[in-house]
Amino acid sequence: MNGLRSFFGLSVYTTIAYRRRLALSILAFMVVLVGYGIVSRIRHVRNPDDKIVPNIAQLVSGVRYVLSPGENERMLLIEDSVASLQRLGVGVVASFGMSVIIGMSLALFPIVEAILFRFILYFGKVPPLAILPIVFIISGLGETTKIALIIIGITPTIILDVYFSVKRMPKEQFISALALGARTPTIIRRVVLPQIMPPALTSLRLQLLNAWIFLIAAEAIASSNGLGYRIFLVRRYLAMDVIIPYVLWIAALSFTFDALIAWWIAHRYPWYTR
Amino acid sequence: MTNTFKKFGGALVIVAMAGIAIYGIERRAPLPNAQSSIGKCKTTQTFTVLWSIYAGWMPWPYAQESGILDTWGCKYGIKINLQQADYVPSIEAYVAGKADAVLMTNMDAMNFAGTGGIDSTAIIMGDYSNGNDAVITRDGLGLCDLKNKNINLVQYSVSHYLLARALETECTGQSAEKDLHIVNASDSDIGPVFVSNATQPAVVTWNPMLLTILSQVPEAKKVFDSSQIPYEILDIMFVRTDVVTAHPELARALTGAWYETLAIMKASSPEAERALKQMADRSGTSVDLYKQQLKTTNLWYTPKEAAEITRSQTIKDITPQVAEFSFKHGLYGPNAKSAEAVGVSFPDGSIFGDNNNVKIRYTDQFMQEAATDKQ
Repeated sequence: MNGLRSFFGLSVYTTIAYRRRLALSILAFMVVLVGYGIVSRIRHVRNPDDKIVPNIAQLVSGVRYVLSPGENERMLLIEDSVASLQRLGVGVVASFGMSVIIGMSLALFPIVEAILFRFILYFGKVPPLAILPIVFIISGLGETTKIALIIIGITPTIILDVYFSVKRMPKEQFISALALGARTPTIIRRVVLPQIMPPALTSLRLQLLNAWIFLIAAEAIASSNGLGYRIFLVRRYLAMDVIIPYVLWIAALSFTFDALIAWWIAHRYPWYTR
Repeated sequence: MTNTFKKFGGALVIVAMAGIAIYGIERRAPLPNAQSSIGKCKTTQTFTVLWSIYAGWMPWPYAQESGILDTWGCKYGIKINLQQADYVPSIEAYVAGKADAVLMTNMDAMNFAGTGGIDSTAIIMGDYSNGNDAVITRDGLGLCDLKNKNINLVQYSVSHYLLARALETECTGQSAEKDLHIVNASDSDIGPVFVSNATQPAVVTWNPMLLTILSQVPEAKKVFDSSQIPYEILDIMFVRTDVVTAHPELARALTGAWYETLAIMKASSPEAERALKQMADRSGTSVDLYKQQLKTTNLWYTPKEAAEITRSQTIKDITPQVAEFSFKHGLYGPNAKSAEAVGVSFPDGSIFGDNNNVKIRYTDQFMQEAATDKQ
């Protein structure tokens, strides 16, 4: 009973030893791998050339393909990653900067709030892909469109997160700061910004997946390189042996960024996660 | 100062990242061999041409990357900016005025450019689908046995047209389009869905999905393909009529580059093999599979052949059929009164449809010039 309890109890009184935790985590990965292996085996018995669930040999040749030099004499994977990460980097960073500035202004200045709050609340709900032809007209078929899609897609949510974070701050903090002689710029810099950075960064973490979704969608539509472009290119040939390594690579990149932001929050704002 | 850095270090890092990323994008120079000739010539104007991946259009990126396109642009003092996009978005961008020229089928030209009010001129008759589009069924199901069955296709595309024509020509009195359940699917999903779902009875699609499906599903077979309706699905280079009127040199440069590239492909030389390899790579496939696709794509390799077909009665005969299909399926929009809503003019000056609304113009002028070496 006690043994079971030490596994299935509430977190208040249950702790699982690190090694066991690790073993259980690995188990989850193993279950998926074995399940995949079985499905792949069954499909290959029926059709030795099955491409939908590639076996190890096919995956190896897929990986070899993505590591082979493309038109630019660079490895396909590297070329695509560089192209995609530039778009993602510019899109995410621009979104974040704009969101923090707009979100703070909305919460701090009633005049901005009066003009923009309902507008953002409403137009933030527009699915960017549905208005793609309009985005084309505004920004053409080049890099700008891909970056614009990311910005249109993730900015509204982060803005609102920043807005509500500022609104949640106790009024007393502002009053004390004003009483101590602080003026608006000082209040923004010393009182507001340090407190809303962690929730804003957390919001960015959650929006990273959306940023990837919009990036891949944009690359699928108008591009000649990038991770999303390659996936949609080879999808016509059902080349899952190429798509699976790409997807795992995207997940690895995304996981790294997520971990970096989490680390930065924990390192820079230790009071936040405590 | 250190205190400030501590507080805003994160922001600084982010700004620096943005700087690096923007710098990176700025620095991404064109391919080294693409700029070889452009440095030396004076170009007055830049034109944007959109292309999408299709067996019969892969010579275009090759023309660009090998420098052929730039050489021809240079000759006429213009810069041609060839840009890749997905098929439908490329047409949307063209209709939105974001490009001067686009590669599309005769049917989509009438439906998108024609109804979108973009007067377009067909300057290069590229190829017709000679088996590149097909109806595929499972388990020996015949074309005329599809009554009440689900059939996956990209709605209102040439696949849809092919199905309508197939039923019309082969199954009169047995089953018509209205007896089938047409399920819209995107072109990138159509293959996986059919392959992985054994209860899916039929699909209409084009290459490379076609070859992939047939190689993956042993019990699947082609019951109708576009070689049974030759000349009906045409792949054409369209240029905005106002642009080509003001700048015929754009059409001349494109025509010149196109036939030079095709001549390289057609020759049996190491250069041809290299070109085919590059085209196959660009479309994400092997040389063998690409050659298989070319077999079912009837390219007109010489300007003479292309000009002849443009002048022929065939083009005049198929245009009303395509218009009829488009009108019947509502592709001309709710305001169209008849299949003749969009006017189409032919090289001899005759016109199909509305005289006052000619939006699609077939001309053999530039192909003829290339054929008689006036360039």
